[in-house]
Amino acid sequence: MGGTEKSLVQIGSLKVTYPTSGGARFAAVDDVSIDVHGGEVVGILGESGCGKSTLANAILQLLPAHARQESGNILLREHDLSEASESELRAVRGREIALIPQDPALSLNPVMNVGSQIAEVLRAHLPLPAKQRRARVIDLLIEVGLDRPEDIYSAYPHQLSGGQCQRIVISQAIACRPALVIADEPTSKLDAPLQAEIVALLSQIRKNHGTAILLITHDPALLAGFADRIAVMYAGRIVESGLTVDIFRQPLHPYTQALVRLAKSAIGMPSRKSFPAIEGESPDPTAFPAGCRFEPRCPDRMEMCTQRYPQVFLPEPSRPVSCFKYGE
Amino acid sequence: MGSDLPTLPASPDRLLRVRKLAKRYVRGGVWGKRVPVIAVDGVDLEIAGGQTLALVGESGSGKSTVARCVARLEKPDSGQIWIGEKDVGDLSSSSRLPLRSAVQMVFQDPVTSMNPRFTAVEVVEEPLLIQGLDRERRRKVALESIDEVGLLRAWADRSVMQFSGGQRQRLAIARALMLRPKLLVLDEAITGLDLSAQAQIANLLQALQTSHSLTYLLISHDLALVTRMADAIAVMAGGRIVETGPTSQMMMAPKEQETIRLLASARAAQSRLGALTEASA
Repeated sequence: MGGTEKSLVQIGSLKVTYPTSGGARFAAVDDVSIDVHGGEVVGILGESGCGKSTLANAILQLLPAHARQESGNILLREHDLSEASESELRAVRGREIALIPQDPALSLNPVMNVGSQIAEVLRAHLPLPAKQRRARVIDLLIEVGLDRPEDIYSAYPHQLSGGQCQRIVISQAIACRPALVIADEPTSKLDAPLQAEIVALLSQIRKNHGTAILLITHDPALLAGFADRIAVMYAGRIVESGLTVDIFRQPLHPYTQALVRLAKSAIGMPSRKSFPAIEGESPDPTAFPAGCRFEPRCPDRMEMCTQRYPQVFLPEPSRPVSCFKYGE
Repeated sequence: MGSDLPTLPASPDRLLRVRKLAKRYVRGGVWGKRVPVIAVDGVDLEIAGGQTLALVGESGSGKSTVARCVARLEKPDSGQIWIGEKDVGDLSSSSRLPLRSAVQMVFQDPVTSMNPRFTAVEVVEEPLLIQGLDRERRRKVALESIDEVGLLRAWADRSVMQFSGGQRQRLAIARALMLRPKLLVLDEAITGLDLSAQAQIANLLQALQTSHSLTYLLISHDLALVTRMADAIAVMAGGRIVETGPTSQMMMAPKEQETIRLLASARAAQSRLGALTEASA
């Protein structure tokens, strides 16, 4: 499925703004470029408010009405989705690119049985007789690891556990075998053992169907062993990207370094020691500093960091990083 | 400060003791069939003053029900809960009032546990309204508490909606501290946050534990997180405590299936990360 050379989805210099109460606009996503190849797992790593969910919604052209795409393009197999008509987009959403939402409890219809909700996705895109459609839904329920699929089909969301609901929204996302699945914090509402099961399931889906996955998360541990490449986002911008092995083995940006150190410290010898926390908060998006946006929290800050935003340096081939430590 | 609160009998050792706690809910009703669900089935636990006990287990294991019973947000069907040397269950609701301030709870979701129309200082001072303090006193005490949790006084009059998740959790902790509690029940108070905010809140809680001699009952599904915070761990499954012991013992030599399972999943992510980060070292 899909070529390996050409990008499946190519995002170039994307900028999305929201209005402030004062009437000005601020950029939640600022000059973001990223490619996803067919069958590849790309991780977007960043904390809440960094713009990662805005990025996900922009790809699907599902931004709220007050958001505005100021510049940049979103190419799906070289067609710009930001210029596509609403009917063209309807053919893309769910069929070519599907979203696994953050909170399944909020995205499922509480008064409709879950089987019909999966069938709805199929009906929107594939002309199938009702009987075959039902059979297909049953197959999907089995594929996402639900026992007793016939019973689950006629269950309502409130009768299912959080983990089961998560599997239902995953089966909705993969129902039409999309080329790309965007998973926005798919495990943040789940227990640790369930998180591992969901990651294993996504991994299986990618292996069986060559589905590319864009996984958005704040947790580096979720990406380890799953993502092929990672882009680290901070305050609306990508600060570093590279292969997962490189990012974890030798993080370059001070923010990535701190995140990886923190993730590694999460479990270890039982000891009542403090965590190597990253002090401070990410900057207010309506008042980004003129220089590097991580500078106020950065242990390696230099004079020039306050003056202008660091351009992209390439300390090693294929290791772009926006930090003055690597140039000037 | 808080001098009008009756002091609890000094308890040299155990601050919280829970014996044979049981609670069942009834599911369904109206049109559905009423099915009793046993949420907690004979739970015993105790925490020494100034220590942290982590109650871990997967969702539905009953850990939140134990937490809510200890904080008296639920009435247990049977069993006893002692805070210091008082049996909480024996008290009438009016004589329970001082005990209510001895136990405070911090919830998982700071967004839904706060009135969105309140400012930061209004959220924090709210517990003092019932104490009959005047406006100025309330504000003074609330601002001190805001300092303590590492927020800026200058933000005190901002709407709570302007705070980040981690900052709102700091406000929730500031609010919980207002009544000078002895025991904080932390119901998934850290797990809903980003990794960086989680670490900050965990560090803050550890610092406050020392400075205020607080005892924590830490409810979490995340075993990785609790290993650095808890003195002891109790693992719950199906409404019962299946294994309990000091943190190091539970980590090194877990005996029960559920503990092993939780440990394995906590370690799996870690070892994937470890394998990647240490490959070249």
